[in-house]
Amino acid sequence: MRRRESLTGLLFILPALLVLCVVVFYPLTWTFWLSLQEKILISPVNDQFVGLAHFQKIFTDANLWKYIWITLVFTISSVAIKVVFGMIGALLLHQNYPGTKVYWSLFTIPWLIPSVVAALIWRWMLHEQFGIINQVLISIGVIDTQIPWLSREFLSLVSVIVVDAWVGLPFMIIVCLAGLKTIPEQWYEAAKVDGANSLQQFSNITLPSMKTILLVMGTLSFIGTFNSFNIIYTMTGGGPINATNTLVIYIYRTAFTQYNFGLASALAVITFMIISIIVIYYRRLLDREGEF
Amino acid sequence: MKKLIYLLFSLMLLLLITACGNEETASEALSPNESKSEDAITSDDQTVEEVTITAWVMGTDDYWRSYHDDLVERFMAEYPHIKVDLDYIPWGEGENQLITSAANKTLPDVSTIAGRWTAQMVAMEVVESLDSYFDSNFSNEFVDAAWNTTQYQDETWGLPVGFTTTGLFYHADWLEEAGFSEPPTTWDKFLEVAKAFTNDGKYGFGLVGDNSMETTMFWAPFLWGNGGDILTEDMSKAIFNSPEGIEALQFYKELYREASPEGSISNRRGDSQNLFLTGAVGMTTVGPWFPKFIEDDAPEIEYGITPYPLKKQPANLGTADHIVMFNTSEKKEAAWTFMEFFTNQENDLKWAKHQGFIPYREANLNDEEITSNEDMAFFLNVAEDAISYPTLPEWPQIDQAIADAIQQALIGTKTAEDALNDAAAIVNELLGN
Repeated sequence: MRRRESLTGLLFILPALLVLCVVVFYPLTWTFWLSLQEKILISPVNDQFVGLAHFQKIFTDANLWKYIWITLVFTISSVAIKVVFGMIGALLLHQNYPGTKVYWSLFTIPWLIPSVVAALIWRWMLHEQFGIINQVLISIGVIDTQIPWLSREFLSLVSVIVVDAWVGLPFMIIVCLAGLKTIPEQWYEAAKVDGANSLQQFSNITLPSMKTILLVMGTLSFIGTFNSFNIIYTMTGGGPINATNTLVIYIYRTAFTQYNFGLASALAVITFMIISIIVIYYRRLLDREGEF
Repeated sequence: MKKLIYLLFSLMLLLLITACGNEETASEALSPNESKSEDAITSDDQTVEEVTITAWVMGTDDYWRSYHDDLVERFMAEYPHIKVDLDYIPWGEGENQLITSAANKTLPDVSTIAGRWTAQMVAMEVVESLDSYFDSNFSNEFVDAAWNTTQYQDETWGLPVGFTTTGLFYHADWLEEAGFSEPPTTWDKFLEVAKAFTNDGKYGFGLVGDNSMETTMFWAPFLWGNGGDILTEDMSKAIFNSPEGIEALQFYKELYREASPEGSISNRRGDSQNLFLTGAVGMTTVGPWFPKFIEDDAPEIEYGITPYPLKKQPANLGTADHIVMFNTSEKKEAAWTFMEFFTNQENDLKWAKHQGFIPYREANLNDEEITSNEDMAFFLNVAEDAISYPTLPEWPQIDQAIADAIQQALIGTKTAEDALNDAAAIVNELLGN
């Protein structure tokens, strides 16, 4: 009887399992396998098994550490902006000022636009000569010469961070707002009776109640941002001189400008390992704090 | 009432967003070939078997499509037993698409292709060698400079379908205002004019410096004009780091520092053209399709075209597109018929008039309408100084290495000499020495 039941159960999940195998397990194993091969599409005659040679090459390459560093700077800054401003935005929208709903609709716009389109629009807005941002800044007197936002190494990294945060912010606000709505109103009333000012209310009630949500969202956002491709690739293509070359962009360029699929797969495996560590942390977090 | 306002507002937003989206999907959905000849096929000739070939054309803009749609329609009217399935691939994705399709064995029967990709595809062993398809006189009908780009390791791998040269476009009225009686002909003069144009938020030259092959395209004519070259004659070694090359890059850097927007580091060729059209820069280097752009977008511009200013010898970039057949095709005969039609004398002339490209067929060089057009005549004249990129499989990577070096020198993280030497080391490793 039990056996039959479990068989029936298996039958039910079989379609999903098959789909998973095709779209997840197969590409994953194939990538691992490729990472041990010499496979350059444009010179198929050299295809052969090379073991861990790619990894050896990668770890002795000074560039890799530079790109990992860029990726971390990009990810951490963007996530920090999203979490901090997401929280601030949610607090503001939670106040029920007049017109809150209009703001709410406006806030969701970046989230509704496809990220490639958003990045293209930003590339135009940030353009030195045509860009509206330079024109506005000049006309209100903040700067007096046009700034080439995407042409200086540090500035271009800042630009892509801001745009990535801009695109990701609405979702963060929505989730934080939902979190705020779950905090019982009575707690604040009780605090007021005890004479707590709004700062104390925030640090003793709001923040502790939101801790789980912020941690979970921060972690999820970290994973998403770490793998972010569209925005950077569309805005700078990894340039100028690799200043915005994150791991994911580096993998893409290795695979599709050098057509070196073996090396690109090895890089993808390394990225996969890094993300895995964060996912394990995320699982622990969920176990500790309860499902979200 | 309030709710109604929100509803209206959201509706408006929704409309706005879908409206933006629609345009793209509409043009994407344009069906390229509406075959009219379908019913004519079966009727009279029983022996001719009906075949369908698939063809890719690089380039997706409407003007470009309208020519090829028409071409295919005329072809199918003339050869009713051959049906052509046509797909347009954006230039920017063409190389990826071809190489990954070659690896996956999903190539079409024929495709147009940038000449600089052909050797790479040949090295992947997917291109059909064409020498057995035509007799010895056939090649004489083509312009040598265009035909030579199809040769690699003494075999013919494609037919030319587009041939362009480049020149320096300038705002003629700016030149006059700055007090020059004629366009610059030497490097020194060029820099002088460019500097004179640079003031008041305007710049002399719309330099291209992003990390792509378009940067190499912009710089290479200066290298050649200084007597340098990219590779040795036998293509075994990099020589763009010769003293001539270093000097050419230093000059390019001077142009950038003195007379170009700082943001040129992230400008592509299209950006440079737009800067010229909007009157933000006074000069740019482009090919023969550009007068059409000016006519469409900024007809008020008084422009002039002049050869690249030179240091030691005249030079400009000549590029050829090819049409190739893949050896995976099972309908080679029909594919060849299509290629022959695509490149015949009549269609070469039609294409030249439609797109402003210069003819690749000898017989069309003296066509009245072409020689009487001032712009066309210019691009025809400079064809004798046109230099094409070397034909070898490693070209795209060499191209990238050079673009990276130019960017490093422009920003100043390396000197021109170091940047080129480092790039040469990468290229020499690619070439196996």
